[in-house]
Amino acid sequence: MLSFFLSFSKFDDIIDVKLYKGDIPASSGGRLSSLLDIRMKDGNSKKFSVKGGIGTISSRLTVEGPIKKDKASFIVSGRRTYMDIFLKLFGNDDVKDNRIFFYDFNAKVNYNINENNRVFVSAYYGEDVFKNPDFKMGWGNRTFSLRWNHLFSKKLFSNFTIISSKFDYELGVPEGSANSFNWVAGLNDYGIKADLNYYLNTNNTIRFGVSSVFHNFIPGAARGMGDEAVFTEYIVENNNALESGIYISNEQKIGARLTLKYGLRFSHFENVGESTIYNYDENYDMLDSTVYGSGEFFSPYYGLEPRIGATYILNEVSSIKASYARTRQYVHLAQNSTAGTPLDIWIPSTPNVKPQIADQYAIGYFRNFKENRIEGSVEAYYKNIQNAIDFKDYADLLLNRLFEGELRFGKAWAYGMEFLARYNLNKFSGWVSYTLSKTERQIIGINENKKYPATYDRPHDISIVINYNTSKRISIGATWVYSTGSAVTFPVGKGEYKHLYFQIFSGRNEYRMPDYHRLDLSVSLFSKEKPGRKWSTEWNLSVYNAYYRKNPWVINFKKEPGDSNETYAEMIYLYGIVPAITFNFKF
Amino acid sequence: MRKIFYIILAIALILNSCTKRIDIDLGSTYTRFIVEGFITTDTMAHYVLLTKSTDYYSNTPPPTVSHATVTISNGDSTITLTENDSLPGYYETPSFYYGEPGRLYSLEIELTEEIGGSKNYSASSELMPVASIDSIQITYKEVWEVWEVKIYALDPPTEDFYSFEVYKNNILMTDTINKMGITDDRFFNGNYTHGVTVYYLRDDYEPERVYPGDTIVLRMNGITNEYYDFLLELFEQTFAYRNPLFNGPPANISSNISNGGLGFFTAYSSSYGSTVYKE
Repeated sequence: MLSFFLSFSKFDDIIDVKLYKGDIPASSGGRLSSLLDIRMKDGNSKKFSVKGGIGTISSRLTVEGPIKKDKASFIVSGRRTYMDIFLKLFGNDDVKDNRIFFYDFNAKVNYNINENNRVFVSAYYGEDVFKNPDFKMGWGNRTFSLRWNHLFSKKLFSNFTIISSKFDYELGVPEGSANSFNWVAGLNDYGIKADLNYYLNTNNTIRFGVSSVFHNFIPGAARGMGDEAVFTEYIVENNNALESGIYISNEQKIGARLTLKYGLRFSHFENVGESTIYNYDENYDMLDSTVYGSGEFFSPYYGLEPRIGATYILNEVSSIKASYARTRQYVHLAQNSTAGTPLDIWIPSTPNVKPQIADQYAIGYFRNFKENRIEGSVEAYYKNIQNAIDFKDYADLLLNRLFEGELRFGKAWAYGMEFLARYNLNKFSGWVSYTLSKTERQIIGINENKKYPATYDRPHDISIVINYNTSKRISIGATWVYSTGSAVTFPVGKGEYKHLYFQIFSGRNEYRMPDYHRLDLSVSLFSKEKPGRKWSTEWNLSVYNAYYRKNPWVINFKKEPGDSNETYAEMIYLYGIVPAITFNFKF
Repeated sequence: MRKIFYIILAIALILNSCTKRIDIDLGSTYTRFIVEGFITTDTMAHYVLLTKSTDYYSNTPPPTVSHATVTISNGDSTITLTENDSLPGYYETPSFYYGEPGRLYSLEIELTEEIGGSKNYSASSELMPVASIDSIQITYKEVWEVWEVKIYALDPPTEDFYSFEVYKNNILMTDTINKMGITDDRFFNGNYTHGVTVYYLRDDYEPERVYPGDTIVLRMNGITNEYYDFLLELFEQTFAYRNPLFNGPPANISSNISNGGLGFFTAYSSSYGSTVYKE
């Protein structure tokens, strides 16, 4: 929520991001649809370099260089925002005691042992904090990975990886009052995997591997803090699970035009004690519970996940693609709230919660224009999900031992078309994209068993990104995003019971939030390039939400106080217009 | 206890964001029929109130429904309620009427014209028994600045649901239904309640502040599981600090009125305990 103020500017291109849509490779599992693969770049192995920026909202610094020339290198990078200081400068009294910041820290070391062996160690640590005397909220991300890249021969190479990651969030009232308490929840993952590539011949690349992740779920625990606290403890028991997969795939070239990718993944998931599973009757009322001992495996789920994709080159400038992927998701993310917040909980598959199974079909047409300076594409997809999960009316998920009884199950489906044009003309570059889509679900026990749009259904989604280089020294950027408001349930009528007014609601998600749109602008002024000069600088002036769009985060419906019968709608929005100045440097 | 966490967090968050009134077109919806009715073990004229829903932005009070035929049966005999001449929409039993624990009370309503697609509505509720109160006690809780009303009574071994109302010097402090204390017996089922707090009076609100010599009366009602769930949903929906961080999609409050009617018809028994506060 807070971290969206940070963007990786072109000075800070430290990561590679690869987004897979329809063609999810067999090597990845556990997620139903798009997969974001983030891998940090290796440090520069030839020379030291420093780049960074100092700004009114955030600052960042990246240092990289050789540890031992051509043998070992490192890269470290850190960022921090300080919205709180900025808000104080603008004299916003409501928030003067607030502390809002985000920081993160990245480090990677790579070492070439010899021609056939390389080792990579990387770590990430990030934290969002929101704090004032009455309230605190924070969430953190930690990842550590160790990768050994080994070449068995010129045809067979491998990656062996150990990963641990930790996500948690914390809420509460700081120590020093009767209300003080602390509430923590999170997810810890410990995984190992082996991925091998075998270059059979120039036309066939075979990939195969295994992976296993131990999940440790921490649904939540709250306890009073300090001497004056009046609260006792409330703990929802942790639970554990082991998720494993094995896969094989081939990328095969047939002739000069056709490339096929096909593979098969087998995935397996099983709960691991010690844990207590509550059993429910057909009305989702708790019957009794089953206790599993420490280290006891139970409730196995498994299945095959076929993946297939084809690319056919029509001519020098155009190609077509088609793909099918089945994915099984064993760990479910429950977004309790109607607004986007990071207070999510992860729900493992258990005897009560079946894995979600998705079948995704995609076709696309790709064509370049103007000597490849414009890349255009049209893609269409259809996705069908079995065992989709949603929450019953008046669901109570957070800090609830019986949260599985709050879940309802059914099916979900989504389809859409995406148009994308990337352009790189003389002075202009950027992209324009438009997505038309529909995401619906039908869940037994919700909305009178009738279908309804998913909360995150956004029929129209547009983004326009323009970079304009007026000269070698000045660059102007504009980004405009637009999307249909999320689907929501609003009151349509009202009544009274014992003089207390109550609302009568529409069907689930029958209404829409106001459309979301926002314009961000930036101007960069670069230092003169001179032969022999080893450093460069940049002044950047940016404006977030330039035309002050008040995008609602939530809409509440309220009654005028007293005896009046009048009711009204009120929105809560989080950010207005936010200007910033940043000084970037590189040497 | 979890609810308290939510409330503290919700209030803190609302205080830290910007709000603005906004025009949202909600259109209009069909009219629903709403029933509010009670049968208790007290001897009195019991009423059933019939009203209609309005569009969300309507600024008129809910219209009452007159000239209906309203009957209540206790399984053996049926009485017809008469509409109050000065309070349209209120249908009353004779003043000597009282409910008896263990009986099933059935309400039948026939309207002169259709509302919400039907002319006939019905509901029924069992009248649950309630334990007697041995004694009550008033103590001041300094950290929250509230007066706690504590109860001493024996909860029966059955699964029971309770609502609580408080009178101070014969004035009802529970003047709106969402001030009512409600609880199930999960934490003391079948046990003697050695002073469980069932109601709070606010020290910072003069009408509720307790002084030496004040007489406090606690009314404990034995209610049905369905009515308990209805009250929980009603309170949750009308809670002032609804917050998107913790609330899922909103939904209609449950009801025991047939044919898509709203509101609730319920029967319950009451017992009383009283004390005079001394410093």
